[in-house]
This record gives sequence, structure tokens and C-alpha cells, in this order.
Amino acid sequence: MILTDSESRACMAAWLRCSDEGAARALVEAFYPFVASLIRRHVADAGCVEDLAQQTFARCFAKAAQWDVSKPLEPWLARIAINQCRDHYRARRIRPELRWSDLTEGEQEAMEATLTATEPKVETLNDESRSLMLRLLDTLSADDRMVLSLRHLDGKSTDEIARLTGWSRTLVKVRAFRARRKLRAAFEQLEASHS
Amino acid sequence: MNEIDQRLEQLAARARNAAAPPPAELPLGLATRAIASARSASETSALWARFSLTALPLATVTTAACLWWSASAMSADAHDLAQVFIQTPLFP
Repeated sequence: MILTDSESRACMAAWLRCSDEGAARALVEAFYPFVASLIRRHVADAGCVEDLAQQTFARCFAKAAQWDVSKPLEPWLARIAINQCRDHYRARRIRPELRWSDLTEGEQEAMEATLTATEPKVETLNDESRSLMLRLLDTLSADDRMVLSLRHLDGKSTDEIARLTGWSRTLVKVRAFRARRKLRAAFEQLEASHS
Repeated sequence: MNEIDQRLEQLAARARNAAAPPPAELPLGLATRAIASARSASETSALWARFSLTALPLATVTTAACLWWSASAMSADAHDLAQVFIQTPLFP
């Protein structure tokens, strides 16, 4: 089910006016693929996607009064989903370090390719590289993880990250710089545990 | 850009090119659960708001009563003290 911008606004207005359940269902049906794919890109555990999507929609409906009617619904929903992912990672324990023996065969292959390649080749081991990248990101705190995940996995700009997270541009830049330093350390540690 | 940064950049580029997951099917009952959860969150916050509004006048009345009781007790104490001074002979 696809809703146009005006239709989604009308549905939100109906939910706000009289908690119209039909309108809310239409919104969930229309935006679930978008929300689920956004969460899947940032959360390694596929089992959590459904729960996080449900929490995203629940928060969207509970806080519907805070939505700026003049703006489209999708970016607001994306911001809620990103915050849910961040909360999800805040609740879990940070993996202190990643060692070679923790990697799957495919991830080891991706790491080998990264260590030995002389020039970037982007046509092979993409899924394994993504999985390895998510594992490396697991060694960071929730905020550091989110900023690098948005930058490196989604290819978002500083402005886009600031809009999605609600942080200032300066904060995004500082956090990205520090997070990247930590990621580099984790990568070096992984490399050392291999050799 | 140093060597580690280049490698990380290369890894990230490959990761970005990973196959997009197939479009997600809406799980059965997710909409119902999300709506119920939103309603219960709204009800809880409404309940707190109602409780606060009811508690505010009650707290005001209780505070006023305490102040009045405390003031009357103080004036009674002052009266008793004055009586003691009056009845006590200054030069025994």
C-alpha cells in the first residue's frame, strides 16, 4: 500500500482528531517497508527489526501531536526509528574488543581482502564486508555507532545526520571524528589478533 | 589519509554495496500492537496529568490547613507564656 504525501497527512490528522484506527493501520501498512529497511541497515540482529518497528510506530502515534503538519511524515518517522535503534544499542553491553577468532569464515575472508587489496574493489564480498563492518561497529557506544553507521553504511552527509539524530552539525562532526578514532583502534586490534 | 583509514574506507564501500534486503512484509498484528501500545502510553500520561491536577488543590488545602494550625498553636503558646510572666512575682 502506497500513500501520497497528502494522504499520509490526512491519516495522521484523522489519528490526531479521533484516534482513527483505520487511518493508523493505513499508515503502518504504507510505511512499514521504509521503517523496516531503515532499521535493518543499522541493527545486525534481524530478530529485533519487528520489535523496533512496532516501537517506532507506537511512538509515532503516541507523540503525533508533536509532528509538524507542514512537513512530510517520512523524515519524522525516520528520526523516531533512528532513535529507537540508538536506544536499542544503549541497552546492550558493548563488546570490548573484536578478535579474529570471533569472525565467521566469510567475515575473515572480507578482512583478508581488506588487508591485502592494493586498490579498492567493491564488487566482491559485499555482504560479508557489511557483516564485518557491523561487528566492528558493535565495539562502539550507541551514539558513536549510530553516527558512523549513518555515515559509512548509509553514506549520509553531516547535515542529513544532524537532521536525523537531532544533534547539531558541530556535534555530529566531533562525534564522527572521535568515533572514527575508536573504530580505527578496533580495526587495528582485529588486525593484530590475526597476525 | 593513512593506510588504516584507506582500508576502513574500502571496507565501508563494500559494505554499502551489500545486497539490499528483500522488501519487508508487514508482520501479522503489528499494526494492532503498535496502536494498542500508543493508546496505553497516552492513557498513562493522561492518568498522570489528571492525578496531578487533582492532587494540586488537595496539596494547597493541606498546606493552608497546616499553616493555620501551626499559627494558632504559636499564638496559644505566646498567650500561655504571657500568663506565666504576669503571674510570676518579679521580686520574691
